[in-house]
Amino acid sequence: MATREAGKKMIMLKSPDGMEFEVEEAVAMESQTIRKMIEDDCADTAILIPNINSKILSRVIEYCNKHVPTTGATGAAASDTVAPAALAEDLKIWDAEFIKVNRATRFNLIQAASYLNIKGLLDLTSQTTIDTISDNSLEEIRSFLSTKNDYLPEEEQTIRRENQWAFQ
Amino acid sequence: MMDMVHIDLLLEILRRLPPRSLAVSRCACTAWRAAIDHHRLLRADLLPLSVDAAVYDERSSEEPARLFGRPSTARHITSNLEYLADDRLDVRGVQDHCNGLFLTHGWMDEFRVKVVNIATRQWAPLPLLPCACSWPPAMCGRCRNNRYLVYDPTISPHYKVLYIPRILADTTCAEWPPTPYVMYVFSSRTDHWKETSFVREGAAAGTADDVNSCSYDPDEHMHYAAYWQGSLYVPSPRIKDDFLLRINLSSDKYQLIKLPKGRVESHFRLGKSKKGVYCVMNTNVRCTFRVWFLHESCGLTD
Repeated sequence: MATREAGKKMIMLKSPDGMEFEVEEAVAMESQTIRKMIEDDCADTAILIPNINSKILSRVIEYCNKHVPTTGATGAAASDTVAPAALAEDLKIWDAEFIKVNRATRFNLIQAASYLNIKGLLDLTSQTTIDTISDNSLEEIRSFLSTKNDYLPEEEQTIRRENQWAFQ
Repeated sequence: MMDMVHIDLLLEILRRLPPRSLAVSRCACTAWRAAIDHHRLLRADLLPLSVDAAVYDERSSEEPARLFGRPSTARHITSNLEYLADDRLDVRGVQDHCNGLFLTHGWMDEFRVKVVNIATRQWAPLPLLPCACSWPPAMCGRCRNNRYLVYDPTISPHYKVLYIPRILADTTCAEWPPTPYVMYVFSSRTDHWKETSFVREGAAAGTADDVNSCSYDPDEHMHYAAYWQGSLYVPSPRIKDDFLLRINLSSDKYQLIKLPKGRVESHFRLGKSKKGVYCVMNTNVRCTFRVWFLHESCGLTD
C-alpha cells in the first residue's frame, strides 16, 4: 500500500470486491478515464472502479506505477543519471516480465486497460495476445475467437474470393 | 459460438492484426465478418495492391527515375520529385523503391535521404546512420549507399530501411559473406537504426579477400533489390559467380542464391511479379533479354 508523501496528492481507488488502493494522483492519471474524473472534480473521496476485481486492479496499478513519467525533485535526479534509451530498454524488459500471465488474466487486463483507457497497457496486452496467434491461419483465428465455421461451403468460397490476395 | 459480449474487446485486440490476416479472418464465421465489416477494420479500398505503374530508371544517366504507366495513372502520380527539393537545383535521385515508396537523395546534398510515398506525396527524412568516417556524408559509401526499402502494406503500414555494409572491418581470410552478417535496420515504427546480426544458412561464396580483389569501392552501391514475401533479395559483390543474398527480416537469417551465368557486362536487374522474384539479363544480342524466374523450393533459377 502506498504511503502518503509530502507534497504528493493521493487518490483512493476502490474495487467492487471492497478493496481500497491509495495511489499517487500522477499514477492514477495514467488512466485517461480517471484523469477525466479528477479533472472534472468527480474524485473528491474515492473512485469506484466497476468490473475490475482487486487482483487485476492491483496489477494495473503496478503497471501505472512503473510507467508514470518521473518528475519532481527525486525523479529528475534519477533521469539525469540514466540515459533515456536505457530507461526505455529497462521498461521493455519489465513489461515482458509483467505480461507473463495466463490467458484469462491477460484478457482481464485488456478489459481493464480498455475501460480505464491506458494506452500503453492496452497495446502491451493486445499485442502479446496477437503474438500468440502465431501463423495467423484461419484455424488459429477461429480457435482464438472460439467460434465455429457457420458458412455454407459456397458462401465461404465467395468470401474467400473477395480477398483472394490474402490467401496467396 | 463466438462470445458476442466481448466483441468490442476482440475487435480491440484483433484490429492489430496485419491486414492480410484480417482479410483471412473474415472467413472465420458470419458474426466476425459482420463485426469487421461494420467497423471497417479492413481498408478494402486500399488493398489488394495493384500494379499501376513500373519504375523506369536509367542508371547510367543522371536523369531521375520515371514511371511507366497508363496515362490515367500518370495524371495522378508522378515520379517528378521536385516537391521534395530544398532548392530548385536539387534534382532527386532514387536509390531504391518498394511497393510505392521511394528512397531518394538529392544530387547536391546526397546525405539528405528521404522516404517518399509518391502516390500521396508524403515524405519523411531518413536519419543518418552513425558513422565513424571523417568524410562529408555525400562522399562516404557507408553514409550514402546500400540502403534498401522494405515495405508491404498488407503486413504493416510501417516501413524499414536496411543498410548492408559491403565489407567488414575484420577482413583477414574471413568467409564471405560472413556469419553473422551485421547489418543495420531502420524502422519507421521506432524512428531509429538498430544493429542486427543475420545468420547465414548454407555455404559461403568465398573469402573477404576475393571481394576486395574484385571491387575498388567496397561500398559501391548494389542496385536492384527486390522484396518478396518477407525476404529482401539483394545482389552481392562479384566473387567468382554472381549471387544474391536472400535476407529474411523476421528470422534474422540469410541465404545465398547463385545467379545464372551468361550475363554480358554488368547488366542485370532484379524484379518481382505475381510469380515471385525474377532476374533479367541482357544477352550479347542487341535488345534481347533473358528472364530467369526463381523457384523458391529448390533455391535455383531457371
